[in-house]
Formats: sequence, C-alpha cells, structure tokens
Amino acid sequence: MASTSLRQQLSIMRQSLFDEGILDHEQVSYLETLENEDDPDFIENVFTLFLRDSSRYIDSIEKALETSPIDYPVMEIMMYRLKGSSASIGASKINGETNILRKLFHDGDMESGKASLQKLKAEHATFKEKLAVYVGVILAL
Amino acid sequence: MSTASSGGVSDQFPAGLRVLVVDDDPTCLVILEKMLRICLYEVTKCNRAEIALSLLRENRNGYDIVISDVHMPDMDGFKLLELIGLEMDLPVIMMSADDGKNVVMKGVTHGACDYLIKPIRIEALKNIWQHVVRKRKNEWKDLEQSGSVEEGGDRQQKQSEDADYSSSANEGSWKNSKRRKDEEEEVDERDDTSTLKKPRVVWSVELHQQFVAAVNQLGIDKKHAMDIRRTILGEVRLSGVSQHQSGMGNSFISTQEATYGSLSSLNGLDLQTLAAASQIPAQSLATLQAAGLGRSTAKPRMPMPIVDQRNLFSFENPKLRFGEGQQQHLNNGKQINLLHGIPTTMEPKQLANMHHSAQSLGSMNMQLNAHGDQSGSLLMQMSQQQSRGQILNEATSSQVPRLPSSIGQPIVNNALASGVLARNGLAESGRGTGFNPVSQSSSTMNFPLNTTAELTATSFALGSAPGVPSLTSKGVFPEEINSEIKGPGGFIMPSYDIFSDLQHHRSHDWELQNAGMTFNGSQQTNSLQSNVDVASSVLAHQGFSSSQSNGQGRNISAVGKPMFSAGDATEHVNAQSHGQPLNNFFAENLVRVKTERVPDASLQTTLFNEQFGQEDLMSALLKQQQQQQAGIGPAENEFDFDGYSLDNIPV
Repeated sequence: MASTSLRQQLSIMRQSLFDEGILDHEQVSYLETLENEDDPDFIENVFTLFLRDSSRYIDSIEKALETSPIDYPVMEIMMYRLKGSSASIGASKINGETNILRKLFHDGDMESGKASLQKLKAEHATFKEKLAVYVGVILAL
Repeated sequence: MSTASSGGVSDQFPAGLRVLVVDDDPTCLVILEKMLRICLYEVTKCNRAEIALSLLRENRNGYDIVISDVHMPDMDGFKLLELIGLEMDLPVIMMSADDGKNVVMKGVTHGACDYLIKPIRIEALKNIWQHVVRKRKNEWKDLEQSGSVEEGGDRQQKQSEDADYSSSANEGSWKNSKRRKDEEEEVDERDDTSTLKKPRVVWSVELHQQFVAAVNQLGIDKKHAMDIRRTILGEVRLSGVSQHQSGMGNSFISTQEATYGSLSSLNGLDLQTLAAASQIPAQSLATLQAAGLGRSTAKPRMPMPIVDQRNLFSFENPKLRFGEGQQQHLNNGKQINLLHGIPTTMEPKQLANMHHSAQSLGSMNMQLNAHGDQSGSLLMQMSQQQSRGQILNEATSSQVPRLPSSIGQPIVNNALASGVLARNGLAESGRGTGFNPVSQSSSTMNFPLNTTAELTATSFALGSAPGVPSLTSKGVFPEEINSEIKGPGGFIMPSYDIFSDLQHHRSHDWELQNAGMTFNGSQQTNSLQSNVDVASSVLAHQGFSSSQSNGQGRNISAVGKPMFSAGDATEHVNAQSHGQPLNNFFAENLVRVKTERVPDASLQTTLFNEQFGQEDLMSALLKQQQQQQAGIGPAENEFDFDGYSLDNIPV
C-alpha cells in the first residue's frame, strides 16, 4: 500500500510544487542528483534545514525592522542569507520575494519594504506547509 | 581535472583536495559539502570565520583551499580572505548570493582567487583545484627565481624530515608519510613562497643542451633519454642545493650521473660510455655506477644505507642517498638518492620518500633552473612523459600537476617522484613545451616509465594527504562539534518550533491536504500528517546532525535528538491514535539515521586507519583526545548515542 501510492503522491506533490512556482524544478532536480547511497536523506535534510533557518531569518528581519533605530546590518545579513539559501534550495518564490525586499530596503522605501516583508512571510508560510508535507512523504517512503 | 578514465594520478587528482568551507548558512553549507564530497574532495566545514581561522592556524598545511562566504556574522568574509592570504597563503574562493559587481570587485582586490555566486553548482567546484595548482606553480616560480642555496637547504631539510617519515614507513605508514610529506611539501611551498625557499630542480636551457648533447653522443634512444632526464630531475632536486653550490655544471653532471646510474640499473647502459661521451668526470661516473648498482638493489621505500649512498655522488654534498623507492627500476634509487643527496640536511630516510623526491625535484629545479624556462619545459615534458608512461595514460600530459590524492599505493616514491616531476614540470612549464629533441619520444618513454607508472599512478600524495584531511576533519571535529553543539541546544528548539508550527497548521494542513492533495484516504492522510510532524522534527534533527557530521558520525546529536522529539511526537501523535504506525515510522527513521551513520563511520574509520602514519597517528590521537575532551568521543567510532536511540523510543 504505502510505497507505491506514496511514491505517486510524492511525485504529484513534487510536480505541483514546481507548477506553483514554489520550488524551482531545475534546482531541485539538481539537488536530487547530488543524493546518493551514502546519504539518502540529503534532500530531506536540506529542506528541513532550510525550513528551520528561513523561519529564523524572517523573524530576525522582522525584529530588526521593529527595533528603533532599525537594525539595518542585521537585516542585511538576514536577507542575504535568505537569498543564498533559498536560491541554493530552489525556493523560487521566496528567493524572488527576498530580492524584492532587499531592493526596496536598499532604496530606502521602508513602507513598501514592510509590505513586501509581509508578503514574504506569507509565501514562506505556504512554503513551509507544503514542504513539510513533502518531506514527510519522502520520509515515509 | 580528475577523470574517470584509467586509473593513475590523473584519476586521483584532484581527489583528496582538502577544502575548508566557511558559511554561516547551514543549508548552503550542507549543499556545498555534499557537492565537494562528490568531487572527491576532503571537506571540512565550519560556520564561523573565527573557527575557520583557528583551524587553519593550528594546521597550516592541513588544507589546500578555502571557500568562504562573503557575509558572515563574526567577521567580514573579505577580512578573513586577507588574513588567510597573509598568514597561510592559501587560495581562497569567495562565494556569495550577491552578484553585484562591487562585491565581486572587492573579492578581486582582496585577493580572492575566484568568486562564486549562489546557488553554486558542482561544475564550479570541480575546477577549484586549478587555483591550488596555480598558486603552487607561482610559488615555485618565485623560488626558482630567488634560487638561494640556503633556501634550498632549508627546504631540503624539511624535505629530509619528510623523507624520514615516508622512508621509514611501510606501506601503510608510507602512505601516511607520503601524505604528510605532501602536506609538508605544500606547506613548505607555501612557506617558501615567502622565504623563497623552494629548491627545485630547474632544467635550465644550458642543462638541457648539455643533456641533449650527451644523449646524442651516447646514442641513447629517446626513451632512455627521457628516463634519464626524469631521474635527473628527480635527483637533481635532491641534490639541488649541493649542485647549486657546486655550480650548474656539476649539478648537471651529478644528475646525469644519477640518471646514468639509474639507467644502468635499468637498462644496463654502459656508464662509462655515457660518462665518456658526456665527459663526465670519472669520479662522478664511479659514483654513478655505485649508485646505480646500489640502487638496483634498493627497491622499496627503504632508504638505502646512507653510508653507501653518501659516497655515491661526488658532489659537495656527500650525502646523496639513493632513496629507494621511487621507481623500482630506474629511478628507484637514483632519483631518490639524488633527492636525498641534498647537501646538508638530508637524512637517509628522507631520501626514500617520494615526497622527498618531489621536494628534491623541486630543489633541483631551482638549482638547475637558474636559467629558466626551458627547464620548465623539460620538466613538463618529463612529467608528461611520466604521466604517459604511467598508468595514467591519459591525454593529460599537459595536466601535469596531478596532486596526488594520496590514497595511492605504496609505491609512493616513484609516484611521488613522478608526481613531483609533474608538479615541477607544471610549475616550470609556464614556459611552454619547448623541449623538443627529447620530448618527442614521449611514447617511447613509456617504457621505463611503466615501472614508475604504477608508482606514479598511485602516489599522488604530493598534493594533499587524504589521510591527513580526514584527520583534519576529525581534528576539526571538536571545534565544529563545539560550535555545532550549540546547535543541538538550539537545534532542538527550532525543531520543536517547527513541530509546533506544524501542529498549529495541522488542522489547516489537514484541510489543505484534503483539498489540495490527492492523498488516498483520510487514514493515510492522517498518517502522513502525523508522520509529517514527526518527520519534520526528526528531519530537523537529522538534518542538523547530518550537516554537522562529515560522515564521521557526528550524528550524535541526531541520534540524541530524535529521541526527544520522538517522545514528543509520539505523544502527540498518539493523540491521533496513530501511535503505533508513527512509532514504527519513527523507529525506522532512527534506524535510518543510525544506519546512515554506520557506513560513514566505518568508512571514516577505515580511511582513518589507513592513513595513519607516524605523524598522522599522533595527530589523530591528539584529535581523538580533543574530541573526547569535547565529549564527542572517538571520531571514528559511532557515538555512544547509538545506545540510546531505539531503546528509548516510547511505544
């Protein structure tokens, strides 16, 4: 029961993640090629790591925005890390939102930046849910 | 680039390249480590610049190259870059998610040898070895140009020391020694850059001309000529210093003698004829013969009796020891002997080692090369020859610097010599392949090279010592563990957060799942749901531990952690009345974690053991101690956490 149908589900989920633009097909496929027998949970591990860290980064950004004066250096670092890790993992929407966020803050447009941050958070929340399920299915295989 | 083709040096290199990766983003660090491992590099990762610096400082020659992120919390990546360049003179690659021109420019101005943009692809990593080679090559060039005897002597001294290790070692330790030597050699090179101490044999134009003339006179066929040349280079390296002292002519003769000597052992050439033809002083000739004879018996890596060897050459440095090892036939004693012959400080043992030879070659290069380019070409030719002759047989003759990955086989000496030659050749070869008369015969050269081929093929040790890297990793272990250990503390939290997040979302997910996903049945969905929750926690732990461990079994934290989350997860799940399946699932997961670790641990253990040599052993032991102190326990063993895992899973 489990295995085949789970695999099917996994495949469907995977495809839907791609279709929705949540994950970048190319990057994820690339990561999958890196996996081998020695480290069969590589993908899951990486995704889990990202889920954890990205939450942290976004929280830090938010906190930094709320402090006064605004803690720009921390924000910069967090955005940078988010950009790098989301790119590495193929989280395209998050990556895109992060880039927008960075640009807005660099331009000094705080209002738009804050709005963008909320959008980023929403994207991230969606991402987390879906990825968590996806990872769960992988593990269940 | 390492290729999958026939075995041999080229196959090995750049495998075993010791890379230190610094990035404070765990996701990127894990992915990078994975890719570097796939490239067969020895990877050490750390997430703090300070840690990276201390790692580098305590083990200067433990790494070949550093890859660092630009933005790091505790130190600016560029500052780290500067420090590394100043203190260790290692090639540093910067990486960043930022592809802004300014940042890239900053990397360039601060001395980064490359700049990678995230997301990084493995293709970009496959080529990083070129920076290591390039740097070494430049260092060699510097040394050659500086060409001071003292430096050469110093260097040879170091080499001698290295030789001690390698020569005294048997196969296993030989490898280790070799690696060490390679490392030391690398270090030496690095150090030498600043002190200009790299004795290297430089196949000067003058030498080459003389050589060619001699060859022609003697009627030596090209194949042999190449052998001779190789030997010379190998040996000249060793005796570089002395030769330098005695003048180029002498060195040339010496090398020739050495060469002839080898030849005689190999081909039974008539030394006297050679000598006569090339006008080698009788004395030298005698020495050669003695050397040759002595050598032919001296096979393996054992250094030939120093006394005998010392007398072999009539150089100023009486201590030419015919090292054995390098090549069983021809170069066996010869090259090594020459190598050992390094005037002042060579000690017999050192001769034997390829590493030593390699170094000798280097010194010889320096000596000979006072004149320049053509020597380089020659070397390159020779090394190429060697490469060809060797098992490598790859069309990579131009690749030359196959930094051996040191996993090689015992034949280190020969390989080393070849490797060294290759290296030297590379270094020298900036010049191009101008060597013609002799080099043409590359194909024919294969003959004598064959014997060395095996050696060469196996000995990549020149470059890095994989063994050491593993040690390094292990050594790093404590630091990494420490830094990452915080992780566990912190790690747990996040995972719980995730878990709770998941819980929060549970109902929401539930809906999502039912609505959006095509799960088969509610029951399954439930299972998945609970599994997801647990899995996430477990994953988090696993992921964390995975990222931490270098396959060393750092999963300790992983093993430990899942336990906790298992408990929580289990309870939680039980609420859903899926306790049993969940437990099984969880248990399976833990098993998986463990299982995963086992191969790594055992692999590491194996590598670890193989690589131990005298020094290595010491280092390893020290590291183990460190690890133990760090509460980690022996690196190569699975952590005692194993004891925990499944037993504690609540059912």
